[in-house]
Amino acid sequence: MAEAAAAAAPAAPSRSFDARAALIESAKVAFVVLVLAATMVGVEIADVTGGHEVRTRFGQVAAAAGVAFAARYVLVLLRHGRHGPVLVGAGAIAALLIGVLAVEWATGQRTIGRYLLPFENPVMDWVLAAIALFLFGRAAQLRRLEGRTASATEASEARWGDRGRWLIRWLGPAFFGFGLVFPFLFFIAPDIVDRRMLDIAVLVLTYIMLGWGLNIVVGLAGLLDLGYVAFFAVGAYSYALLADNFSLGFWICLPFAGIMSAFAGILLGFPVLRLRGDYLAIVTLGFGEMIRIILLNWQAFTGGPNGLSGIPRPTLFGIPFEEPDEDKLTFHGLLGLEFDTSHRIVFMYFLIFALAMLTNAFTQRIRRLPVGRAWEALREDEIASRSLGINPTNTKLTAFAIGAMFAGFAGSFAGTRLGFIAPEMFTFLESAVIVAIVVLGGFGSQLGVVLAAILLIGLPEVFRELKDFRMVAFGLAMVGIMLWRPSGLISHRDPTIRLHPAGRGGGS
Amino acid sequence: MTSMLEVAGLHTFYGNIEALKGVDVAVNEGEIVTLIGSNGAGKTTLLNTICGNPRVARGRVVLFGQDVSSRETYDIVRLGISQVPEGRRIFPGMTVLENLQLGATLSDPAHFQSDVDMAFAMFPILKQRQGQRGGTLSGGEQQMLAIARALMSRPRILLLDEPSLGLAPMIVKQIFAVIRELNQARKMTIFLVEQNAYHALRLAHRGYVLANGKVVLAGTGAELLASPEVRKAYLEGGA
Repeated sequence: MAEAAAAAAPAAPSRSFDARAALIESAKVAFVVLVLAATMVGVEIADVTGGHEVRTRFGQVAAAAGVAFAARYVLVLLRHGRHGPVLVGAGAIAALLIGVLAVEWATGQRTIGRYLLPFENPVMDWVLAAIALFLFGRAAQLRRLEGRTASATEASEARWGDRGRWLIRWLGPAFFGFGLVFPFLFFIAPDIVDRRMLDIAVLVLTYIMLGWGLNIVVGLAGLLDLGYVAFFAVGAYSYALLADNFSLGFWICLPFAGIMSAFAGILLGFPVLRLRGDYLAIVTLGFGEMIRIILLNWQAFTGGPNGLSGIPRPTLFGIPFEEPDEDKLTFHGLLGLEFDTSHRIVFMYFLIFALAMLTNAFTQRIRRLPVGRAWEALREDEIASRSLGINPTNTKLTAFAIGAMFAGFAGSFAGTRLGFIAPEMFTFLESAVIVAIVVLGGFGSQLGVVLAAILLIGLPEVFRELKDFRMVAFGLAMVGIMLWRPSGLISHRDPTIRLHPAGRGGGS
Repeated sequence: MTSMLEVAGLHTFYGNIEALKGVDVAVNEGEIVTLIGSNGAGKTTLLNTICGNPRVARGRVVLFGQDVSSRETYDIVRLGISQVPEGRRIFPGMTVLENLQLGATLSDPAHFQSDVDMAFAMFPILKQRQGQRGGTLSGGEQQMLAIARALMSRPRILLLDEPSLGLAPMIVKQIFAVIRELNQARKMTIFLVEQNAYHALRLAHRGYVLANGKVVLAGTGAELLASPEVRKAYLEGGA
């Protein structure tokens, strides 16, 4: 055991460094980047008055290939234990890039950067700086580990494991607290948290809620649902149509929207009871498309491609967020505040925050109840569950129904937030993003869903400047996750039952 | 002695393949009855058919005097039958304690505490491993967990499907000792399917030999052990 660990220690990789082989390897990587970038980045079609114009950006392509070459060479150096030059080189480059970028960002003009920075887009330059910083950090880490014994490494890893568990335990409450105070930052520090940030936060929370809802179906019950957005759509249309046809308010419609979606969930559940894995995924995908196409074509009822508009806004216990009016009691009139549309946005934020927390609390609780236990058992082994007296039909249907219900709540919220819904908002891409959030977060992990939603929804919104490269960044993030954390960001599963009281002392 | 489980003229099909061709088996209260046979004889199929999956094609399965031939698995086990399935089938991602908790799905939660204590008394190693995920246990520990889980529902009859499969001889001995103990101390009725004919027949009160979907021999454990056909087909080469 000890010898095996020693053999696997970081000092083990071969120290013989062949510069020629390293150069060839780097050149290969650079060539791949060159080929890929030549078509994607090298040619740009720009709109000019009176038509289009093809512009070339071969300088950028060359820069990308150069960066790839250098980065690969550094990785080879690290692999052969040559940390010294990397530490100095990557450190200097990172410091230079960050310095120049920071100065230019602060002054708001492009000066020396024009000659020093390889890319036109500052975001790409920041990414480059991040790569340099990462390589620097990795070199420093390897240097620190050098010469250390295997047992010391193990001890340090165990310590990190403990710290990780500690972090996971406190991260949840920390996020909750931050979520509670976040909208107040909008009033206290409007420079940092502006309207746009608040909107993004509401969007992220919507996806967190959807992620948590889908987590019941995919994470707990193990039923891969690729058409989850259908229930989101059913919820949104239920609210919009109920409000439109019967002039009902948000709070009355909310439970109805949930019930309608749960009903749709059962409707989907029945035909797919016998299916598993890939087959189930395909049918749910089809179901998602069916709902969208019905919404698109049933013009008389759903408004077809035009969608539904004028969806009423929610009220606070019957008090609307409208301009103060002589005859009507409004939020601002009541509190004697000056009318401000941002109050409604803050209210919306708290609304979705509460709905999401409800989803979370429900999931945490139900995992400890017989139904939740049956879901998890079914995910692990259906035949064994059946022989223990679990009814798979009811168990699967409740999972579909409850998961769908929360999507329905989120759907009515989304409808009321935008005041407008259309079938095109409920495409397969949305389902895919929600599934990606659950998978990326780590199946069944509540906290993982939060991190993944921030990563997948929040970051692309914040980095809108990167628009051309957003999908590339998305793909890169996915590849990275699959490489380094194949079971999701947080793969830790909390047991639903702790140590048996009579078994204390004997526990492992 | 009352008959707890009675299988009469049972036929089971997998598609067009007839796996059981008219099997008659009976298990009486307080007995250990074993079913031996070679690979593909239909032993596991018989146990699974008793539990409702696959369904009975022809014939009857009578459990505690009730015909359960057309019932669902989760409904049949409600009557007081519990199966330790082939290959153990514990829940790998869940802890030992959670596995036991799922075993108690059908029983009164008030019993849970004492039933877990009893399981831990029977298999002390499980007590040490209670917070560990099922998939990280060794094969023998997994088999113990599967038996303990099956007992959590307080069954009146226990079906065991090859509990010795893939285990070291020492562990096999231990498992068989537990089965004997269950029968003697707790008066548990046991229907044991085994390939390890020698151990099984020594333990059992009665036994059946299954070949090609039919019962070809029946008798007490000692009779079968002494029978030349059994010795030739299942015990030759030493067990």
